[in-house]
Amino acid sequence: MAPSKKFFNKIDKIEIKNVSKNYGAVIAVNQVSLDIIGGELLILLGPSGCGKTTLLRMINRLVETDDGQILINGQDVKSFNPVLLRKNIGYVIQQIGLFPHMTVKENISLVPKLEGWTEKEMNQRVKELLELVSLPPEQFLNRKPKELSGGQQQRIGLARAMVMDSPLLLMDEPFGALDPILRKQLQEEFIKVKERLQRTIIFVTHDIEEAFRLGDRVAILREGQLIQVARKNELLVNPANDFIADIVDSNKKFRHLDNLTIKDTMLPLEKKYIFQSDETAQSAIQRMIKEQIEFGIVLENHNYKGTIKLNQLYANQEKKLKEIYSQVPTYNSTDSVAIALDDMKKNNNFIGIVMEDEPIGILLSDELLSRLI
Amino acid sequence: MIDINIILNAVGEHLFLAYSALFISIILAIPLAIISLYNRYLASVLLVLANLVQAIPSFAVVAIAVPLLGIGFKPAIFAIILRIILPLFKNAYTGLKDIDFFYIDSARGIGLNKMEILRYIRFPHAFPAIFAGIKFAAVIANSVAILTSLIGAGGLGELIFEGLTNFNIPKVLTGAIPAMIIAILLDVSFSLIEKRISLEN
Repeated sequence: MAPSKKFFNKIDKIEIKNVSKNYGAVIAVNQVSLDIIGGELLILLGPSGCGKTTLLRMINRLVETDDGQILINGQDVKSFNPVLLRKNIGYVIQQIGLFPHMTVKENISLVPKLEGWTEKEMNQRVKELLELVSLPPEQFLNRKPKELSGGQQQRIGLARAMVMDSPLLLMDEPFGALDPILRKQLQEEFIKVKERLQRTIIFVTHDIEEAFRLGDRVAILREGQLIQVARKNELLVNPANDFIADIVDSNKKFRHLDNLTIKDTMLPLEKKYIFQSDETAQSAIQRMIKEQIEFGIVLENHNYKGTIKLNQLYANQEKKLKEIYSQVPTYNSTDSVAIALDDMKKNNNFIGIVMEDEPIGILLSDELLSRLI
Repeated sequence: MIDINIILNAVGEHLFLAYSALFISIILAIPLAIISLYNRYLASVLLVLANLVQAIPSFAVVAIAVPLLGIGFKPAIFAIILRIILPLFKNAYTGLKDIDFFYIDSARGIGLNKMEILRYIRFPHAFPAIFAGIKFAAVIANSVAILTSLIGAGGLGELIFEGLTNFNIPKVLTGAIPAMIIAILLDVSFSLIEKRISLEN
């Protein structure tokens, strides 16, 4: 179901024309012009204070432009009632902002409720969305936000943003507050959701790896100005200036990639990721929520057996971990990063275990490095 | 012995006085808090007043009512309202106001208007603070309602003060004991409700 006043069925084009915003003497956004193509995921990338969030918030009029115009399908956003406009555009922020006094269901269905949906319609929609973001509905419908881990809260935030089925989604660093492994997991999940839904998405981040993994095109901003907008490979091959060359090549390690071993780039294995094979799924769930992780390594007498993910545990709560773990690739700590990353990319893995005699680290896929290999 | 009807009558007067004052104060304080949310000037004036009034002894507030309204029930109710309305306001206002910006931000972002944000986000968030204010105000109203018998409002205070002037200790107690029981019941019942609210939140 759509909002009572549906402004767009699909996004053909968003045109940002010479848009500016000042806060007193500070110029937050300076004469930015940018076209967003319907159906793409455009990344707004830049350091903090570059104006990317302000630019995003001008699209749903949480911030009003001082100068210039933003057109969605040719219509000026200022011609819409701002509250109705926002009901037509999904919005997700880093702090998520789930309302603490409401259950998951109430959070997701708040706007539908204000729009006068029936209880049955709301229930059905909430269930659909929870399944979409890989949370078993019966387990989560009636929980309060504080009973959820950060990753689960972020999924609910995404579900809430999609409840009105809007063809445009604005996301402001949604994964920014999560630890690197969880961020990677949610990014991979998000890619699947995105492919299924085919929305136009504008996504703010300061993480270049995230930009390269998720984006179709990347717009780079600096001090309120748009420096370059291009497809990802073009940014690598053809950076517009030194600033961009610097961002895409910010890490000197790229220059001697061939000499890097896995041990140089992996995340050292922290204790919180280790689970024992005779532990029950139920207790693993509790530990993961407490530790704010959704990934674990299963050991049996110090021997590596496999890995577990939080999502898959819910369906098997009574079982022991030895019955449900799954395999991800393992790599030797002295192997070359280039070879390992290439292998991961080919096999569509985003996480690998680094071994010496026992697991010592976790290797995450690296979109940027992979492209440079 | 003192007639039980006299005591019941005094209890009735006392409760009527204290609770009509409390009720009127709540009805005035909460809209004031809401208006102040959108009017910074009003908010700062009222907050300064609230802090000042906190420092004035209740007895002085009761005394001030006499030159303004004479003696009897009306000045008594006025004095109690004067004493409790600003603390009520202050709690309601800070409860509505002090909410992390990102809750408001995400509420606006998903398309709630100002009234909806007030109703669905700010109010539930402010409820514990508003309730704590009501509890505090009820306790104050209960004690000021004893003092107001000095300006002819009747109630339990009348028994107490008459007893004191005549060295009639039983009479003092017939006023003081019900007053204490009311205060204790008030505190216990409000604490129970408060616990329930905080559990729900």
